[in-house]
Amino acid sequence: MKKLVQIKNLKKYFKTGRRQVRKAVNDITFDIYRGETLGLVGESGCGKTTLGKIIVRLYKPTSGQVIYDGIDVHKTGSPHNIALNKHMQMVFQDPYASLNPRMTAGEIIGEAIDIHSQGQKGFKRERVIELLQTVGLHPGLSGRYPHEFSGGQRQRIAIARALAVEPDFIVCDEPLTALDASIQAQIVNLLEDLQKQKELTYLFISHDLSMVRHICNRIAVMYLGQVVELASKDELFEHPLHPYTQAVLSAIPAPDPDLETTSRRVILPGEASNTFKLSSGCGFNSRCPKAEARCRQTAPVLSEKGSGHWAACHLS
Amino acid sequence: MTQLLSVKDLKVNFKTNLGEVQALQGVSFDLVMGEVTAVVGESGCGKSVTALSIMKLLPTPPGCIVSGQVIFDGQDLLLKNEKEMRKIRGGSIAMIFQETNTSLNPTLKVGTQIMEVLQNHSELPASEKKQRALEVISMAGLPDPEMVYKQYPHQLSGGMKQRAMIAMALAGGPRLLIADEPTTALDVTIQAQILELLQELKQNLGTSLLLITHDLGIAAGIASRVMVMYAGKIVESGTAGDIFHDPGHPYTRGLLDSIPRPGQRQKLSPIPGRPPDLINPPQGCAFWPRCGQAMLICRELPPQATNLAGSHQVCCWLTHRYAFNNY
Amino acid sequence: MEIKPQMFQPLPDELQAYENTSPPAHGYWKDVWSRFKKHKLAMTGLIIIGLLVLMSVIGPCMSGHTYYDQDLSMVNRAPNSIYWFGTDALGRDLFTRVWWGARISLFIGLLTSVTCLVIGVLYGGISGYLGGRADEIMMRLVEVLLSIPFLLYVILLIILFEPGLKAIFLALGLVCWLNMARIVRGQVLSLKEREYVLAARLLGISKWRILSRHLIPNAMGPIIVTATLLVPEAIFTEAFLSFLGLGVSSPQASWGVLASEGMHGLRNYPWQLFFPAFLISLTMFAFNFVGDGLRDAMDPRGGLT
Repeated sequence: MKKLVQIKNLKKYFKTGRRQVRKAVNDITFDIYRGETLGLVGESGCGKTTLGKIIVRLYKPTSGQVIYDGIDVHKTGSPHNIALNKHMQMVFQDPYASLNPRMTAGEIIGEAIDIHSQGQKGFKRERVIELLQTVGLHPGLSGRYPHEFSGGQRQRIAIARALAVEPDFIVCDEPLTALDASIQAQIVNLLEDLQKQKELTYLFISHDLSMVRHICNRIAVMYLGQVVELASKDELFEHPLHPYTQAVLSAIPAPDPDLETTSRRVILPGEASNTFKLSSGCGFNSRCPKAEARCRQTAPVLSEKGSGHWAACHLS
Repeated sequence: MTQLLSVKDLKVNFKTNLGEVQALQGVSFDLVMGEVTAVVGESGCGKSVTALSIMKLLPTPPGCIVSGQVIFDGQDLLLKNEKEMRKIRGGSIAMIFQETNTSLNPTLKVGTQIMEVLQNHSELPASEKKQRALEVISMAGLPDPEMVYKQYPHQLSGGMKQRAMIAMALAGGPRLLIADEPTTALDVTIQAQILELLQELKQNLGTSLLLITHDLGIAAGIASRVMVMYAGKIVESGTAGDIFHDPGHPYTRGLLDSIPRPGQRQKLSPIPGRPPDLINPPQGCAFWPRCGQAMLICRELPPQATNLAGSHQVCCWLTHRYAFNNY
Repeated sequence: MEIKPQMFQPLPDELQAYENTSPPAHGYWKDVWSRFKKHKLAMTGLIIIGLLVLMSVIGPCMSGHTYYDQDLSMVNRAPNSIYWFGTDALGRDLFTRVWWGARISLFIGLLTSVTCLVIGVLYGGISGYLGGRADEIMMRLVEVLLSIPFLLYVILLIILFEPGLKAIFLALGLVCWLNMARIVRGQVLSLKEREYVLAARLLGISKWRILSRHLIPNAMGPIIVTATLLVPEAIFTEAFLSFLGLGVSSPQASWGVLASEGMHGLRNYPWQLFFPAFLISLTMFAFNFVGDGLRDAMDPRGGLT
């Protein structure tokens, strides 16, 4: 399998006060292979959205590199970089905020087409219709404004906008969170179909593990700005190595009263502290049910524990 | 089984610029003492409106309770005036919300806010009130009650704020606790903590719980009875086993098929379309435009609730004897 | 309706309407207008403004007198059939002068508002969108200009030019856009983190286009309200300066000049003050009502969805 995106020692610090920094992304390294769907899960504030935005160049990293198909995306001045917009797109979480309320669906998609083609008027109209059909919307709706669509339909328009430039790689930043269950399934199916048709690669950011399990090939688990475990879907769900992954997996509510016995849940104490003080040791040690003395002293690094199964834990 | 609360034919409308939204179209149900009942449904189906109407917290205008009864302790809450309702709210019925940030007053200490509830709803002598406040804080699973008592909401994390809200709700010694999406804003691991707490409270204090959620998994996890709402109506109700193992309504089945299940690989089968516009709800059954098993009659007449087995009720024409004849 | 077995036939496929009827298509401005129409005071204000504009156009030619013709035999007459609003101390027809004044006052008000709209939106928009160092410098400049007392400007400008329309307009134009720029900047700052702006950046859309297509149209609500409220402010400022003798001078007439002249004969000839003062107040109310109505109509919390 070919590497499409390589993330190397990526760091992003936000200044939050005079002497305080928040390490939203704290030294992350992993690869995304061509054609796969990589899930990125973690709780709110763990840095997963920030990471996604750095990859598509909405943020500049503090240090580290993102290499897309051999091009360092954050290196300015190179002519390759301007064309990168054509290859990388993003679908956002909130379909109510991601469409300009003063533009019709057709204008929103048309704008994206304009940027990437010097096509004639007629070509543009055809392409808008084609894209609307691709995402399962009636072409007659192109004259409508975003507020006239439901959440699911808006998310379809957002997907059509991303597709307008014919990208290879799409970062999906919690595209389902704002939608109802029955609509979520529609969008998931759409994303899956598009992936097959257009050979897309997805980075699928989510906090919903059951959805991630459904759609992804590999899953990376983030905790406080770091990837703590990365493995193929089945490996991760069947043999989670990191105690945090184990707890999160046990906490997924299943729609079946018989499976749902609280006894199997690992209830973690406390919460991820958002005061990012420099403390030595593993970021998870204060909540970890298995923490030992060494966990408080040295931070574990992400290392390969089995074939393709990476974890950052002393105990595994 | 004793009934604690009984809602009868509740109808609620909302006035908007575009017309009148029929948010609840005749909702009836009973809550049994000491049980956890979950109301599930998609956004806009009327589940929160139901809770707010029970508490008489519906903003009026634009909301308007058109008809119906909410019987609690043999009295119709809808006929009570604001002063009488204040005695009940936070006293025998308490409510916790999704948004902890807006539900706690940011300028008052947690302790002060709990004491306020006690001042209004408890006959304890003043000297024992603080003791009681500390007691409910620790019942809500907050470490170091003395410390939390003196803290402001912004000093607490998201999960702790939700616990502080629960402590406030417990202070009045409620017999019914209404929880409106209590874990939606929280992370999975914190959600697990809060759900476990709610279950403990039910077991230890015998409080009945009305849980409003969009997450079928949560409902399956803690509720003994489940009601499924769609477009302002309860379309199916029954025990958790009934709903999750033997769903009777095509909508319930559709919902269950559209969420991924562990160990199952096949493609999800979503419900097509989107929920109806409640300003002009479809004639007949509100679900027919999205229903794969719709019949001619579904477009004409709204179906009535039918008892399948035990307390399992379904509101669908497919349960009619003529429908059985045809299939 | 009777329930018959044949009603339980499955619904034919073509009757399955998955995409159920969505609300009729109508744009944002149509919604605003329909909400605005329901606002009674605002509609009254709009009608008053319409009448004032109409009268300022046709008023000066209605009575057959000009605004500068003096008739010394007819000074200080009360309103009568020839001089509908009476005459002033020089025997000039007040009716004509009042509407001539309306022309100048409304012209100053509207022109100031439009000038400030253009400068303020550009300056504020660019400052907000660029952010960082550029924003800091641009906003410090605004603060410096705001800190100079208004009367000082006017007096300085009048020394440079002679008192009159040009000086007043320059003074107003120099000051009024500052507030507009701050409002636009605030709006743009909050809008530029919206996801649709991020999406536009990701598509590689140019900065100028993002500003003009994505940011400013969405900040239009507060911009238009501010611009509307600028009109009466400018009219009032002009009246106030003219009243002090710093503005337009005779025989030109603005409402301020007329009010100032009317003051001299207040005891004996109160109509000379009444008409201009009444029209100034009417304009103030009308524009403020319209501004309030627009604010309500453009507020998204006003009921849609």
